[in-house]
Amino acid sequence: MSVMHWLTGWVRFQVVTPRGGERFLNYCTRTGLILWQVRPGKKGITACVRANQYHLLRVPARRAKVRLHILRRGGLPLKLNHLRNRPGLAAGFCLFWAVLIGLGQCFWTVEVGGCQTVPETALRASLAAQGVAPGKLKKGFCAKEIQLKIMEQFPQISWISINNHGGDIDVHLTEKDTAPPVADQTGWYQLRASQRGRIVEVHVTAGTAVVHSGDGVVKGQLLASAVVENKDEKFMRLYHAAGTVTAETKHTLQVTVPLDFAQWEVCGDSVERSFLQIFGMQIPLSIKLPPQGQLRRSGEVTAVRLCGKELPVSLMREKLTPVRSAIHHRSRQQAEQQAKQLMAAREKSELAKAQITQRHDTVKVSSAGVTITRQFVCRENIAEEVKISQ
Amino acid sequence: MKFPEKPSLLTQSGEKIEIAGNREATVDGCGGVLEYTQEVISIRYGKGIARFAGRGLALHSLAAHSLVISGYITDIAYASRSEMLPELPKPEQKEEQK
Repeated sequence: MSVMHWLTGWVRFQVVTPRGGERFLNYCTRTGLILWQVRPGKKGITACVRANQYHLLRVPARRAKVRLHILRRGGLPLKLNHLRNRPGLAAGFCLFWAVLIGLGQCFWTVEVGGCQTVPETALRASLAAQGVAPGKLKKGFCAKEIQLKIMEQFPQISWISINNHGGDIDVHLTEKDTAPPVADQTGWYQLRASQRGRIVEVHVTAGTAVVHSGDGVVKGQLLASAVVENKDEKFMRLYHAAGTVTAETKHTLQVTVPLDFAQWEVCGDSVERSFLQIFGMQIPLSIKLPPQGQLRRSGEVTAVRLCGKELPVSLMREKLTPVRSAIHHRSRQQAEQQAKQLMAAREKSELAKAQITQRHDTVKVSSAGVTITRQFVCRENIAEEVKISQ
Repeated sequence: MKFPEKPSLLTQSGEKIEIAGNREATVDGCGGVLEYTQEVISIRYGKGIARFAGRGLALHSLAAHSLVISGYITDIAYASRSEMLPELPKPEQKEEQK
């Protein structure tokens, strides 16, 4: 049975007659009907005809005095007739194609790779503002335009690529590497004091030192000049002054820790809620209402993956804890201990380059809290290169 | 550009028989089916009668003026008006001939 016969539908019938059915065949051909697979048999001739032409066989059959008996029917019209009695099946078929075409018009997943210092959540939010997010329509999507906008928003990105694979968006980016400091070889420099102190050592490799060990200097004072005088040939020459000038300096750091402090504390039972995210839409899976008052929100999002590929379906679990602000009081010892911890952190960050030789603490307790004042005596390089010409 | 001329016989008459081996015969200009069994198919052909004998014969398709006979064709005979078709060889006679 050919494809055309299947499309038009066919009927296999049997010619029931005591004599041969040749007359019937001749009448059929004269009527213009086309028969195929005409086979003689013991019970009579069997043949096939188009489904919509079967009723035309009545006239030749009456004239040839034969009876027709349908053996089998088939083809597309017959299948469609079956579907008429099953509207749900036809509706499901139409719905399937509608959903397939409809879902093909929007993005399914957005995968971001290469983020090191750029926060992925901020990048995703920016992409969503440009129309690249699960559930957003693909219409009007222009990768180059979005790449330029993202690079404008995030200057630390050196290269970004947005690729569209059907409904999946792959975003790959490379962040900029900080360029190594390059010594400025143009112009002349002199060394000046970055802070006040007493000179301990002077090592000038280029230029002329104007201070000596034991001298006291103030901030901004000239330590080494760019001018080098040649006394024999009686001329002066400018250089890029370089070197280290180690001085004994004094620093003072102060940290205050209040005795009373505000802290958030839990004031009720927490509520856990679950959501199903499909194409960016949140479908609640629980009917628990959030508690009243101020809440602390925490949770996690678990993306559903299939064969390593992220699907536009994710499960979000959220924990809402009611909190309130309460004033707590800490003892003097506790405040002093915390102040010392804060002081150690400040010392580590602010005096990282200095070699500390002496420390002296002063603890003062007042109604505001505990204040620790620490005085440092350090040895550090105070030479600072200052450009004097272009 | 000049197209090649068609054979004059085919342009003059509407009857034509094409035989593909001994398994299929296409007949154009058929006037009707006179006898149809698995061993013999006789048709009105032109002004005479054509007879196809064989085994497992069937009409593959049957239209107004053409038909396709498929099966194992062993004998084709034609008789014009006022002539008789030769008798079919019986199976016993076939064995004797062999």
